[in-house]
Amino acid sequence: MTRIVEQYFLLAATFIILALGVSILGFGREGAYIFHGWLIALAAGWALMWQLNKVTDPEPEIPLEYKDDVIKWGVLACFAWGVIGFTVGDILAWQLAIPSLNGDMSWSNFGRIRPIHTTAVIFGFGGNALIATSFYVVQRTSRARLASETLPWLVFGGYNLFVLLAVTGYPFGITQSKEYAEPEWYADLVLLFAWVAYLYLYLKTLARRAEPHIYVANWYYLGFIVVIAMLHVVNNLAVPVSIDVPKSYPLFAGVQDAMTQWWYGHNAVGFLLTAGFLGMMYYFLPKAAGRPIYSYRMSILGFWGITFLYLWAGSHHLHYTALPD
Amino acid sequence: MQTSLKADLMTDFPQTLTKYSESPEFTQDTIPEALRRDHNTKAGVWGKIIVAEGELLYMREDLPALVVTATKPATIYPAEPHSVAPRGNVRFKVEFYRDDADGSLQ
Repeated sequence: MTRIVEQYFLLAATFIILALGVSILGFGREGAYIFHGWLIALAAGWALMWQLNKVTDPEPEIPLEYKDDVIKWGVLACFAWGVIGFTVGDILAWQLAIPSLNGDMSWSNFGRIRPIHTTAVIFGFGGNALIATSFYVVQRTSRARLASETLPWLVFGGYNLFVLLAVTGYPFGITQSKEYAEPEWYADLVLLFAWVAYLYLYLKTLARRAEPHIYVANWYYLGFIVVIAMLHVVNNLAVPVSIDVPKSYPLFAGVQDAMTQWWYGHNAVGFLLTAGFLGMMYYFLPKAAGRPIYSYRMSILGFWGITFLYLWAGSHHLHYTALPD
Repeated sequence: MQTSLKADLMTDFPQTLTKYSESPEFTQDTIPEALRRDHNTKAGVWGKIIVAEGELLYMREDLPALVVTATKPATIYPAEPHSVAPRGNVRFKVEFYRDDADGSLQ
């Protein structure tokens, strides 16, 4: 894809997100939902202006160095979400011991703020750590700069917009009540755009590599990116009730919905919290130790093991539930 | 040091240096194995990678690989570890330079 084609493609995608935000803030009937419309519209509007300002610029001189500025922001976002997530987790722990600490208010009860803790820690803290380190690792193991100057920022911004929409919606009851997949359809759409851009950027950077071999850390990161894309799309297939309200209903019903949800939940752990972090470890541990990994063959065996076997074992999360035999 | 991927990497090359030697011309089939691994020039010795045809990947520590072509020669910095790898068919040579002001050419 040439630079011009990529620019127009990104402009079109950002415009779709802007239209989504404007529609929500225009047609929305609930305060928190309208606030989300504003958040989406402001973020997408800013991103659109930023890109439009660059359309007429001459092709930029790309520095002969790795693109690390976006990585630094990713690490900062990781820390910020970590502080938020751990703090809310501590509050929840106190609520478990002393339930009256919820103040008897709807927005502060355990059920509404528990997903703030899980989302901020898993997706805010863990997700930003993975995106930032994957950008760091893919460049160094490929000896190639990230394949776009614009996309890394859109991936970083879009992903964090998704996390922000998620955690600010829960206290107001905006949830589809699926554990670890609570955000409603419009936040899911924002993540979908960011995640497809992430996959494209990662593959394009790998395609520009100077190293003949794709180091195993990239296999794990790619496994994480591809599987999370698949899980996110299938588990969040839902029909919005109307543009007026955030509510949607899942495409699947009953047992099928439960099975899909725990195929997702199981692999959110397996591929975000395991495969992604294994990718991180396969780079940073040998670097820190100053020695190559003990067995490259075992690392490949582990990769195909988790990919083929772990992926299909989600139903055990439904043991001792109302799921029929 | 802020150099451009699009530039020829020669902007850093000191004009006061004097060429004193050059390598034979190598192709993708005759590149010595030692050049494919990390190696370096001695202190005070600079190099120029001159590509006659094709593309050569020039790799330095903690930097993305640079594609060296006939119109974009590259600088080898004194004592800096680096390696090269062919990208398809390539013909290239390396010229070596040093500062004769310090009397080392005598």
